[in-house]
Amino acid sequence: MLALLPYSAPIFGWLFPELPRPLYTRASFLDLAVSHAALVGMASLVVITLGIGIGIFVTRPIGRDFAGPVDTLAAIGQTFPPTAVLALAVPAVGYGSAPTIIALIAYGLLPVIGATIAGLTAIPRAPIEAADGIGLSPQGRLLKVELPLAAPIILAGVRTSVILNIGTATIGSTVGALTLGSPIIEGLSGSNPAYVIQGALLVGLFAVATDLWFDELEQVL
Amino acid sequence: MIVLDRLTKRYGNAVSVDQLSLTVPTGTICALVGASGGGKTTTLRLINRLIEADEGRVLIDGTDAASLAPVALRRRIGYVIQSVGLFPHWNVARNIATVPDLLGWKRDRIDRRIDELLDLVGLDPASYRHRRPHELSGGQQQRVGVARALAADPDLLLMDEPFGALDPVTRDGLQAALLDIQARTGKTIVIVTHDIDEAIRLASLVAVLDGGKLIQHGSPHDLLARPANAFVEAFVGGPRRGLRLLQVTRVRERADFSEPIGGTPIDADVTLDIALERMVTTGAHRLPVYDRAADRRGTLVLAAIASPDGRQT
Ligand SMILES: Nc1ncnc2c1ncn2[C@@H]1O[C@H](COP(=O)(O)OP(=O)(O)OP(=O)(O)O)[C@@H](O)[C@H]1O
Ligand SMILES: [Mg+2]
Repeated sequence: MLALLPYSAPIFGWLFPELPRPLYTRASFLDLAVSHAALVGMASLVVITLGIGIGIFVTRPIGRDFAGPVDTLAAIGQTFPPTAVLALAVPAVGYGSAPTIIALIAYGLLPVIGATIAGLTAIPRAPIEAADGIGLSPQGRLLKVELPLAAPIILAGVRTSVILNIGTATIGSTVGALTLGSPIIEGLSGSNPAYVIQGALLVGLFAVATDLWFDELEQVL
Repeated sequence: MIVLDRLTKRYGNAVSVDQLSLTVPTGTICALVGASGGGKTTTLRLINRLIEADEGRVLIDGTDAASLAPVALRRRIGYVIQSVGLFPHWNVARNIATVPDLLGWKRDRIDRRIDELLDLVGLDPASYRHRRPHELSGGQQQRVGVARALAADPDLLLMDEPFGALDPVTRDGLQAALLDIQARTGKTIVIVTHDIDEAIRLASLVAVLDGGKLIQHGSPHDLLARPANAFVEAFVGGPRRGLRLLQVTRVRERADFSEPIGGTPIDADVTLDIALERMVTTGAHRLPVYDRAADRRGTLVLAAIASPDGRQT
């Protein structure tokens, strides 16, 4: 699709005959896609590490007191509109990729934290008790028993978060990040529906492809 | 040796284990019995410090368990949990290998040990080694749980209703295996059971718990002959108590060695139920007895079987 879209000018010209330039050409679709993927990838890396880490922390004896506050905070992160996060982040870190990544992190954290907590607390008591009873250390129990048993649920949370952020990343283009949202934003402000369709098509495909990849990952696990 | 010294555990206002004092000498099997909720599991969990006592101490070979690192302590103590608790994401072999792995055993030693233990608990290694727990029946899972607890050959074994889900024949086989291991290795074993016959067969010390308190402890014979109260009496068998008493009393204790009679003798070390069975099936009122240890001969009469307990020759 990425390869074919640059040659699709005649199709969009035919669909939207009134438009002088029916194909988005400000940047190549490949550049947009790579930059989009890099933003989501970087944000996801942070989200996964931080989210699973926080999820583990609040389910340990030392972190149990933080479970409530963390839950609230993560929920706020998600209900906060991403555009508002952008608006707040720009004065602090300037335009470009940085505020976008911050917004994606804030937005993507909740599903991962939630899934990690859910996964770790859903493990049946018997294997946990057995692990303690026969002498696994707390770290050994976490790594060898708890995380493997919670992995499917945690992975589902990561999947939700990544897919969500593939869509959310498009708004990064409003603050100057290069994403597949750029044609959409420009199309909206310049009344060019062809650009909007081109951007949306690629974002959708990207999300679907990623989702399929997670499917395969789940099969492997 | 395990010494429980005025051990107490409370949950809120409820006392789960109440001033429990009990000594289990090295190399003996102690059965904890009693009604559901009596504090048996809690007692085991206090011994390996899965939970900490509110009062009292546990001494293991003279060392206060509270002074030992819990993780190291638990690796030394085999533990069969009541709900089995196999690791569902590992196959049978890896489940059994858990503690040897932690202790850093060599691969081939672990593999040999796995096969040995599967044989011991009556599961064919070739067909069971690679199964996941969900591919096993409840009784098979329980047997793997026992194998896992025995894996690193611990001196001390805590078993929480280890044979509860087994058919009588398999259970019988595993009880025999456990007695055999115990006789060979001199392990100290604390076993929780609801089955008084299992307690009688396996244990030399039976402790009856109710409401967290130790109601009575002693040899199976003590409990059957002199139950401390109605609870113990009901527990050790009510109307079947006399029959069970026969199972724990040896012919030697009731035979008269002053006047031997002829015929094929019965061993003085067998229990009275076997002697009685022979009387009933052969219609004899008296049996010749041979005491191998003292190389003497004697007679067991039917009336002596029913004689008041404790009469010794
Ligand atoms: N973590 C806990 N929190 C609160 N109460 C508990 C806890 N663990 C055990 N108890 C209570 O302590 C008492 C003793 O429980 P325990 O598990 O030791 O009984 P048990 O003798 O093993 O019973 P069963 O034969 O049913 O296994 C019970 O009344 C139980 O409800
Ligand atoms: Mg119990």
